[in-house]
Amino acid sequence: MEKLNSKQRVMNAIKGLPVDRVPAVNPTNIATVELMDLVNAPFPKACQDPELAARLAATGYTELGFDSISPYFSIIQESSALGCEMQWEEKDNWPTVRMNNPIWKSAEDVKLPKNFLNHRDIKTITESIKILKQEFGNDVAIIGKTMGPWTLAYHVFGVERFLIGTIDNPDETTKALKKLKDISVVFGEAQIEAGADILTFPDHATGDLVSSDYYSKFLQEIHNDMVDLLPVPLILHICGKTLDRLPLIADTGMAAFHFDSKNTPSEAAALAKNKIMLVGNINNPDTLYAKGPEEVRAEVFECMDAGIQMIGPECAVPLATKLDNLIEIPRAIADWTKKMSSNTL
Amino acid sequence: MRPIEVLETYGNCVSLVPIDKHFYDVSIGLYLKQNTYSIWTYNKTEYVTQRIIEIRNQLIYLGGLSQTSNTYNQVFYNCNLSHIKPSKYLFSQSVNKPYNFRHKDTSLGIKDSKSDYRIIVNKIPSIKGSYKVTLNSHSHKAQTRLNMIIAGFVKYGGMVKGEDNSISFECRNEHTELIKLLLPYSRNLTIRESDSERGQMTTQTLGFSQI
Repeated sequence: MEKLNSKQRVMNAIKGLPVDRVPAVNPTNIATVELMDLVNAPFPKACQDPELAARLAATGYTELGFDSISPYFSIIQESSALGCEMQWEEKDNWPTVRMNNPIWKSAEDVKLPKNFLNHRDIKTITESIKILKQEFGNDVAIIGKTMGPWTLAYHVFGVERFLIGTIDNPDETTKALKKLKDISVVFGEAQIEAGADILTFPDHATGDLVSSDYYSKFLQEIHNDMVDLLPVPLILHICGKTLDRLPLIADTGMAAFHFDSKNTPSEAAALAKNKIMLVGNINNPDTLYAKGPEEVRAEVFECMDAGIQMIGPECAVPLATKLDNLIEIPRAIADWTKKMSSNTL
Repeated sequence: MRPIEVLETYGNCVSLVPIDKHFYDVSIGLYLKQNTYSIWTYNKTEYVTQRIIEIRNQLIYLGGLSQTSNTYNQVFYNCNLSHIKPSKYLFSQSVNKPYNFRHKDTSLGIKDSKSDYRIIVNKIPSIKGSYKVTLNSHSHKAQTRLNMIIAGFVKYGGMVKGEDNSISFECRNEHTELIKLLLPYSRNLTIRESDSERGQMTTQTLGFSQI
């Protein structure tokens, strides 16, 4: 088929349409300390300033050769705007929410602050999307991100209190999640208006924390609703082992699922049955961070052999990831595609 | 240079220090191409070249490498092998310790961290490039501990274990500076690179995991 540009490639792949090759996609983050130095946009400033965020995010396309650009690097922007206590860290570490000092106690407390969309850390994302849209909008898929209610709940209630609440008072939990969902929607809509082509929707109902029954009980319906409420393709991101809930996720109507290397590509593909597209799942801590391009290439090939529709790191890459390993992802995709085409000739 | 040009010019990155605490928190990488190591940063802060020269000089002092002529950022081992494993520790020390750091004790000996023994390494004059590792005890317990320490040299230094508690590098040449560098690491087989979790985004580092 004729050559597509990066945006066409990603938008086709996420809709299950034909592509000239599988796209290299980063639903979460591929910024590293070296890229921060290259464009003089270090953390944490790049999480607080739209121009720096856009500049840093663009390197994923201009320097690494990925087919998408994602300017929301972390998972804390909304929580910061909600008033959570922040630990901004330094250039080489992720900003985090101090969850041992939560801001809310119950569903009743969940309220969207009046100035939410004008908060510095919200505008960093929406304004950076506008900048990127203007510069790359015709050529590259711009991926925004809005955190799901489960993740927001960890931040605003504290992990322990929230999880205990799911046992002690599940109705209250459901009520809180529904109210938090509205925050996800507001921020998602703002990013779509700014120009996001796709939204990543991380909701950390991970296998090592909650069962698939919990997913079904508390989240599946909410995730289903998100598909109707946010009119762009959504990429659900959940870390950890998720094969047990993958059939449930596939039923939500989400366009794609960004999955972790704890799940094998072939098993994930078999469970997804093309009802939901898959993005992933190159291992971060062992492969991208600690090994070399040869091992990265082997994992890319494994994903491609399994029919994974979009290839990328399993989650936000470690900030000290070596660039040669990231550059190897699109290179390996291109080589696999070339090899397959020559085999079919 | 852009990343793709850096990789073409200097090879793959074998070690990356995300923050140089001695120079404006810049990231500094050690790249390897055809047994030549290059120090590189994408940061363009004024005087960064001087900082790279300082690090290069430490690689030479602490690791015994030689400067590639007409370069400010390249070094090589005279044996023409790359010794990647110890070079990673060497690079980390060269960046993280002060530019004028010098060993106070130049002997090849160190107190064991898991016993009261002292670890001593000596060149074996009759076998080129071989070193004998001993402890200041000949007890059965000491021999067991000695085996662990030798395993440490093999694991962290990429060294080869020989007969009679001897070790050597793959090139069979002397690298006494690297032995000195590896001595502290050899003591602890379960050692992990410090801060290896830093900058990783996992359910643990995000505080989401209760495990």
